[in-house]
Amino acid sequence: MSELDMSTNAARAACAQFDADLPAFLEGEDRPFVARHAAECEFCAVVLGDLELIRSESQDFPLVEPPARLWTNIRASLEAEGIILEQKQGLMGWLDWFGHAGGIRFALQFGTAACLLLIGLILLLPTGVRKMHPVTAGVEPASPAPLGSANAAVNAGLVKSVSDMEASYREYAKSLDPMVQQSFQRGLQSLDDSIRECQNVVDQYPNDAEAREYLTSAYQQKAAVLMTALEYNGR
Amino acid sequence: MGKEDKTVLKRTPKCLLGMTPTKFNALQLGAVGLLFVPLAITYAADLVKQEKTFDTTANPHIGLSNMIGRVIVRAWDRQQVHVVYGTYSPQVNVDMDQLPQRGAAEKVHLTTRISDVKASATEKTVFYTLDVPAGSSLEIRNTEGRIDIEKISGDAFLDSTGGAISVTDASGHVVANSIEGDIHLTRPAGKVEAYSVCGGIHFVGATGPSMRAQTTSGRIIYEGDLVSGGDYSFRNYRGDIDLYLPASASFELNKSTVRGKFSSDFPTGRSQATHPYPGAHTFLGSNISSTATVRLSSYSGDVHIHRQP
Repeated sequence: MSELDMSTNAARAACAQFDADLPAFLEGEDRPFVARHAAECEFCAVVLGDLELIRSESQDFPLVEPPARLWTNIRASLEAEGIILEQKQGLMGWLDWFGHAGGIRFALQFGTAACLLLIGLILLLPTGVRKMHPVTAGVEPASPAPLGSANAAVNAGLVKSVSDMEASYREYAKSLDPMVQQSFQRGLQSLDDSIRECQNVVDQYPNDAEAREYLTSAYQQKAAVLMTALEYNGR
Repeated sequence: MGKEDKTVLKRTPKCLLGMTPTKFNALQLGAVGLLFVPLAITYAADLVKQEKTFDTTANPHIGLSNMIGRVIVRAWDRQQVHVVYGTYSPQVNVDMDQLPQRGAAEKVHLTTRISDVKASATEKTVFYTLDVPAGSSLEIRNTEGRIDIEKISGDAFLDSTGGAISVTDASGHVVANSIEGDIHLTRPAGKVEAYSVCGGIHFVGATGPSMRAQTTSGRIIYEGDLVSGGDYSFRNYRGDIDLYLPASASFELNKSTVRGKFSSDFPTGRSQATHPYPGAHTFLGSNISSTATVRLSSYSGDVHIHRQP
């Protein structure tokens, strides 16, 4: 092996060591090799410089509160996918639980944990499915409400989510390009007509399973369209 | 180009497939055409056309995001992506990236950037014409513009809100989504999924193994034969579903119409009397060995199966 080769291999090993120690160094651990190697290796010095610049600049970024529609979208996705279901006991049931468990003082921690869990679930969901079917995202697992319950023809959580998303959309739509807004509006109008038509039949014939299935599916489609609209960023 | 531009900007007020035939005579058409000439010249004068060529692999991934303006993607036999685009305003830029940054690109991304969100529709308009390797996979979002795809053998994901989508001679998996734009699929040879809310969906001469369409108030039209073993699933709420099949077609039909009417010109070959919903599951045609499955589902729209000579 030539002297040049040996020198090159040694340099590569040093750079590899630098790469290995870098994350810990940036986390504040004592890794003297990183600074030492950066002083010797121009390439690694640039990498370290860039990362430290990003770190220092990012500390000045304001913490941005995610828009309300994000949580609505996440909830609607999870409900449409059947991952979370509406609590039968409603809010009071949860409050009771907190009361019995004496956990109301941990509400903030619970809330934070729940949000992290939601985000985690969203990230773990097969994104390819949503990516490839924006119009029908989350509409596949059509699950009609149980028979014999006219008031629960559609999952109450789904109806609530669609309503929340629609409220968010009304605000958001003001900032949309008028042409895009009109297209979404016509689509939503068409779905509303379908929902109304199915709902009338369900009101008259509560046990009409097909009408209920179409009604659920129309709500799910509307949720998907609203989600597409809310995620539209080409204002 | 100018004449074509005007066409793209025209909006279809009704959520129905197809145009109402207009009885203009040649003279009237000529006069109307002449009126558009100055407009076309003005457009053409403002149009800034640019082009760029990327060397690519045989099957690159091509992403394009645009807001208004027609997007045409055609296959050619070179391992290159040739992009021609036209803009009307300096407020609009086109970002072009390739990966890897040197050598044959595996990915090419084109994005329209509009710096002034309050710009007029014309100012936001960008037209694209792409010649791409046949094996390219596409991911195209054109919010309010038409998308035309020709002879692509890779997978294609196409998305528009108000623009129409037209796919011709595609052999890969095609997924087309729209809110109110019509979707036209001519001779698709791969799997197709087409979803719309109030746009119509039109299949012509499909030979792929699986055709799926869903819309709410648009019309679904299928014209052509059915592939043995093929799976055809068409679902609608208020719009009609029309199948135009050759007299030789045989298939297993699974239909569900709640309030709409169903009619078929085909003789019933053998019905499954033991099925819990009599009439819902039927063999139609003379050749019951054919295993094509057709699922038709409509809430209040009518379903017609027409027998073509």
